[in-house]
Amino acid sequence: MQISMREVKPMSKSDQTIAVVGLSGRFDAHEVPQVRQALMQATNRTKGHVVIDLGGVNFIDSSGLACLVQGMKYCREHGADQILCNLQQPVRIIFELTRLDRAFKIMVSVEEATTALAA
Amino acid sequence: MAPIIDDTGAWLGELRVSGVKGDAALARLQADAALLASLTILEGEVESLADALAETEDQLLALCELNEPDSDRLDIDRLLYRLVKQAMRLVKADAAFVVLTTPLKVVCSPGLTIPEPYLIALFERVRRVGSELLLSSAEFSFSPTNGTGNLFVAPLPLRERREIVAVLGLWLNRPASDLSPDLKLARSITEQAGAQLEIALLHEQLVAQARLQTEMELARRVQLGLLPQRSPTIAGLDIYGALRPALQVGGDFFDYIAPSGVTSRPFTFVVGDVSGKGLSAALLMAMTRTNLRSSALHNIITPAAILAQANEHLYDDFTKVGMMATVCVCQYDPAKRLLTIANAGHSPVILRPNGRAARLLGADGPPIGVLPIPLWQDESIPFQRGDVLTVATDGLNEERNKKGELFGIDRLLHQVDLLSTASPKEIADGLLAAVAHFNSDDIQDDDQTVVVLKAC
Repeated sequence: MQISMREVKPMSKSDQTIAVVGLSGRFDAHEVPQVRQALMQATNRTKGHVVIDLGGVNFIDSSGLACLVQGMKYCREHGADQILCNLQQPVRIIFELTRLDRAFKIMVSVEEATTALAA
Repeated sequence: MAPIIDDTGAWLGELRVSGVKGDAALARLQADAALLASLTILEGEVESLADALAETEDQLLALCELNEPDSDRLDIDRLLYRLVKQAMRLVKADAAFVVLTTPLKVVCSPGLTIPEPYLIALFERVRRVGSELLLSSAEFSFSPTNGTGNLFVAPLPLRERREIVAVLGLWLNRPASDLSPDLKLARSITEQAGAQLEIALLHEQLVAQARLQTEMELARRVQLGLLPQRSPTIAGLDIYGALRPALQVGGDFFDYIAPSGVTSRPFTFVVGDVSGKGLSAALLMAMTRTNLRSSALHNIITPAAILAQANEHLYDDFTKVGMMATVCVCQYDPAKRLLTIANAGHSPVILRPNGRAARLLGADGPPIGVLPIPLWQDESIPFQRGDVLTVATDGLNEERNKKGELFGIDRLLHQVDLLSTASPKEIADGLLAAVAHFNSDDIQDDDQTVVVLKAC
């Protein structure tokens, strides 16, 4: 699995930085440790919101979902928010089947997510 | 009188006789004195040869002990202790030490006064340069054995590992110019010790693996032992459940909760899947199952309320370990022929009404352990003769074939349609067989659980 991380400074009143974590490939139990570390690093580094771009993820299993839930809880513990975006059809179906779409904030694109967080 | 003088000219004594005179007698006396001197010199040589022989025997014995195979060789602590002791004997070193990393172990001879952090720093230095070091006492701010000399530190070479994991250090109170044969011997000792250490490390690794495998096997037995051993007898209902375990312990479970003697309590069954694999999944599976059973047996009436209570009890624990569990709770009312279902993120749940196509029932809230608030609702479904409800786990639809294709929900729905006229056992076995056939060449990645209900 490929993991990328960048920081975005949206035009807004607050000068808070948003971390954008990009994931691609198969997201299963084997990938959980490195993704968990990346998500925690993203929250710790920016002390702010995290956007996870799942555009390159073609499969996610229950361990991957639990990892995203853990990331969301970690973010909230630090007074920040986490938004998922760019879900491909197979991944979107899994979120709908498990009704995790009711637990996560999910948006269409990174731009939409960063704009929402900056507002 | 004739002096007795050794080959270095040193005076050893003198030989005297009285009562004889003449040159011939003097010559004889001098010859006897020379003979005595030769004998004395030879005796000295024999003594030093005997000493050298005893020392060589001692070294050979140490060499034999170093190479002798016995069960102690597999104990890393004992192996390192022996290495220090025998290397000192063989090389006639004044002090010795061994540093091993992963696991970190430092073994020193009693006479060594170098602090442990310094020994570890020496190890790091050897690892960095990738070869042996010879350091004179002038390079130390302290004296390792309260004397002057040289410290030789060499790696123990392991064939299967490229990096250096252990070093042998020898302190020799001798000038560097005298050390050549000793260092040659020391190098051959490190070669030998490296081979032995490799076997001991491999043995330790195998023991740890076997221990873990035993624990996993125990966890697996506990997991399977918690499953219902037989199907319950419920009026108007035929029910069958099966769990096909993966190689690694997973978090699947199912349970039938039929309170005996309490007619007001409906028959309840649950199917769940704790995220992740291994002992942690098995442990949380047991906790979740017990919690659901306790709620269903004692004070909670509806499936949604059972899920809400389980979530309230388990949310913090799931949060601490970063896990969650999908759970489907179903109750059956035989009088009304009605199923009541609440589903915490569980999939697939398939309803196949008699004579109609199988369809997927979606979850009405996320898995337990995700949100601290309850979002589940009870859904009532008429369950008439010939209707089939199949609750499986994602181990079925996420099974892959060698091309990497998922078995998927559509194939499951199709199989349920094909098998719908069969008994619950035949439907469950048929679904598991279809999934196994789909992935005939590969290892099963995840637990596969199926519970089938059929109204009769």
